[in-house]
Amino acid sequence: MASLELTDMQGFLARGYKGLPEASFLLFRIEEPAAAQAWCRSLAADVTPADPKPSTSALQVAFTGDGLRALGFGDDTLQTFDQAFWEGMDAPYRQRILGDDGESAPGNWRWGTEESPAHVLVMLFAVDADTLDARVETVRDGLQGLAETERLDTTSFEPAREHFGFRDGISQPIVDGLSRTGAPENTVPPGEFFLGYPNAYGERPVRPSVPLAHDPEEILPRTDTEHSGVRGDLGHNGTYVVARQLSQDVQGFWTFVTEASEEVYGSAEERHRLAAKMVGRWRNGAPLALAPDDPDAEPRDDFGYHEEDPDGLRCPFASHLRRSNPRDSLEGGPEESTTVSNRHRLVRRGRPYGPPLADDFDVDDMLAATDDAERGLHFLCLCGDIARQFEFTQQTWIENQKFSGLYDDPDPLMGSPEDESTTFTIPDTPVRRRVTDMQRFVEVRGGAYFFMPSLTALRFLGRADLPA
Amino acid sequence: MARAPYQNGLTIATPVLPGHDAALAAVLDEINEAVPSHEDLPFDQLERVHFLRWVVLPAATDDLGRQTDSQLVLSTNYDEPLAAHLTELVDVGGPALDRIYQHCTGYPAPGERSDGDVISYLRAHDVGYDTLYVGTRGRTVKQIRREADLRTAIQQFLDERSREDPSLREQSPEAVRASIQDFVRSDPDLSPKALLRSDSNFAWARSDPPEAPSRWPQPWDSALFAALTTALLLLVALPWASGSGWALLGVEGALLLGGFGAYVAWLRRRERRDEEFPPVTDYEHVRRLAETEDRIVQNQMSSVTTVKAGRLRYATLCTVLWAIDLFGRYVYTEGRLGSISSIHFARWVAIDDGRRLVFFSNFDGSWENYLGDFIDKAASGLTAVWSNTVGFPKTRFLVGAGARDEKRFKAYARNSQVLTQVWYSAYRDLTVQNINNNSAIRAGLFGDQTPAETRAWLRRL
Repeated sequence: MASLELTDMQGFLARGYKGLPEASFLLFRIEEPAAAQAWCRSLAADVTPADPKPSTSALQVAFTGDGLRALGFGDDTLQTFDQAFWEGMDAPYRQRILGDDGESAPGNWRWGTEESPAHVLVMLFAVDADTLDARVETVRDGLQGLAETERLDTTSFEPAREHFGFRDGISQPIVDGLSRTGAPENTVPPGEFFLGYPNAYGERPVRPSVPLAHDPEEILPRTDTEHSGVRGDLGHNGTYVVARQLSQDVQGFWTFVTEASEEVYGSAEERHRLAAKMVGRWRNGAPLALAPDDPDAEPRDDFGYHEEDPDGLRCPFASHLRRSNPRDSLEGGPEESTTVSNRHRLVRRGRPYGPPLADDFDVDDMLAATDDAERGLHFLCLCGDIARQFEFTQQTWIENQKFSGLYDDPDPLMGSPEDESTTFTIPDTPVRRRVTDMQRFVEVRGGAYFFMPSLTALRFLGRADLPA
Repeated sequence: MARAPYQNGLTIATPVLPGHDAALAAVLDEINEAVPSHEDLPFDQLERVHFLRWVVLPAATDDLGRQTDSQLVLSTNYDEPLAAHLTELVDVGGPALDRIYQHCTGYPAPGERSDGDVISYLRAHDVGYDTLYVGTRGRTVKQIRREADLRTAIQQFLDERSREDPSLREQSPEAVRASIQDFVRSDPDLSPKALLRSDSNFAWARSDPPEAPSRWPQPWDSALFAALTTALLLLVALPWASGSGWALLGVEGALLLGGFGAYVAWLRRRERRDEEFPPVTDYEHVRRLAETEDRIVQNQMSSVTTVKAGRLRYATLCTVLWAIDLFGRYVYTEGRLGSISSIHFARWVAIDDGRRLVFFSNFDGSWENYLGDFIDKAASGLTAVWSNTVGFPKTRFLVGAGARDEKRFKAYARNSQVLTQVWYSAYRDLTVQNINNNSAIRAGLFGDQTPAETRAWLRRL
């Protein structure tokens, strides 16, 4: 087992803070680099490490490529990061990779664009609302050289679910080296999420680094890669954080599902079945692969598709669950499929925002509700390689209408169907059922790729010798 | 039965006239902007072309410092025979060929050229290929398009029938199949939906067997195969003919073994001396490539690499390419290269007398997925090929390490990739899996089936 330097990592790498249900995410623009560096110095002491575990509140901080540039770093630093990171999530050709078109195009985003940049992200978690507000105020009082551009609040539901009413956060990869252990087919090497450790290919890829001139105090550990000589190792014990604000059209979703269930199952009563087919789990989290007909079964995650459901008769190939982690059901046999799937895993740390459409999440109550408040998910995930993990999952599995031999099937939950020729195919006997003219229920309102540095790297950012 | 057509690959390399690179690029860009229906080359009227591309290979210096001028490469995947393909290309795209090839050396002057001259010019610059892989074996363009229409019509029929007659779901699989057969047998011209389709009459679908080739090319068609077999026969026959029998056979065996050992020792010495390149790419170059990608269901890759110096290197490369070609031709014939099911066509061509290696492929889905498949599922074969070129990650015993070094291999792949100036696909919304599934739907539409076969057939819909 790899030995992780938990006291040097930010706590968000190791845990999602389920015990701290209140959370708020603050976005800042860097206005004066020197003052912002002073702010980094003062903030470093408040940042929560992965060890020890905090009891009442936590603070984490991350930077975008634009943020590092605004601090004074140049291409000789930025270009040692993933290309996706320094080009930004809103780079034009990424729209096709991520499916961010129409209303979801970066031009319509509230944040994460050139007009409304996100330079620094401060995430606050607390055991209750008062503690959270107090920490937000402390951060605001201590600001230097930065201007707040957004405060993104979150909502917590017990049990954890998203706005359509489905249990969320059941499936997570187990990171080798953290305290949680589990099945080997769900365990991935730490380098998939923590920079500086061996990844799924058994490699320790080149990490973000800085020229030695930026680090006269020798705060950073040293890298020695043959081609670039000795540099300051900025990436070690850090990670990439993908953030996307996803707005959910709850009424649109349940209206569509109700009508479509009349169409393909002959009864609106079957809407929970159709919705489960789209998601891949019943609302309580029970997976269709194990419980095709029992909405009240146990919400488990220890299953595959190869043995239980090779033809998709339980959990459709097009369902959100199969696409977001195909497990053992890709081509090449269960073993190869599991290996391949595990090279594209994400640790998901998202939180819902906005009020529930109906407090009890009852579908009739949600359809009858008359509020038009914005609600959705602050999607957050960790990865060690943005292109191979987040963008791959989004492009090759979620957005790919041809996933798993399909023809015109976008992800029925999260996808961006292009036109009325899109479908949702439900394998069944004697022949498939098929929903036509799929719709989009999730729109992107903002997003950015962040780098979450180690505590050492954060100390360095506060003391780096940068051109004024 | 007449020999049915199968797909093949054509590669034509022509030197660009000195000083004409910019003018040629302008013509190619303009044509590419209007794919698939440029007025000088209405691609979608080509009935024998699956994929087509023009790529300019920039001037280069090889491993020994020798210069090569820039060349224009035309690569097509077409339905045999070649003569019909070239005739159609000139018929449909004559004006475009003139505009393009006037920038290449030796193209006949206007007024002096007939269609026949153009075809002769192209044929004279045919450089062939060393390895060709086809993921949709034996399916002509026409068949692929028709079978896609058939599947779409059947799916729409099932949607409508399910709405109108919910009792369909209570029927046996055999009864559902029978109603699909009735639909295809009925005169679709009477159905308003069918009238919207270009090829609305499915009479062809009832004629069995499907248009599968009656004869694949066989291993002994290959000259190298014949040479090797002859050599082997001679090795065995000579000892007996000379009368010394076992003794000479033993000497031959020892020589062969010794030769192989010497080869491996040579290879390892070279591999240890190979330079390890950093996993670094030119970001602007990657961005330019990425901006052309992910427009349709398929993507393409054109790459050109410099073969490492030395005759033995080149011989190694040729042998590997030949072996992979055989595997693609006789083993991986069901639309999967190993477990990779996303490749329509791929080829390797050694050009410039073996000094450079060109790779062209047409594949489904993202570049990231394609490269991931290379590493996860085909690392040994790709390493055996590309380790003979400069810049590839370090290898062990020809097939080890290499492509498994994920970051370095991806950087190598991007660095060796060149912009494809013109690219055309005859079926922009079909994957290899779609095409092969459509054929299976058509093949199982009529004829006898066991109950299990009928259930499996219905699952294809």
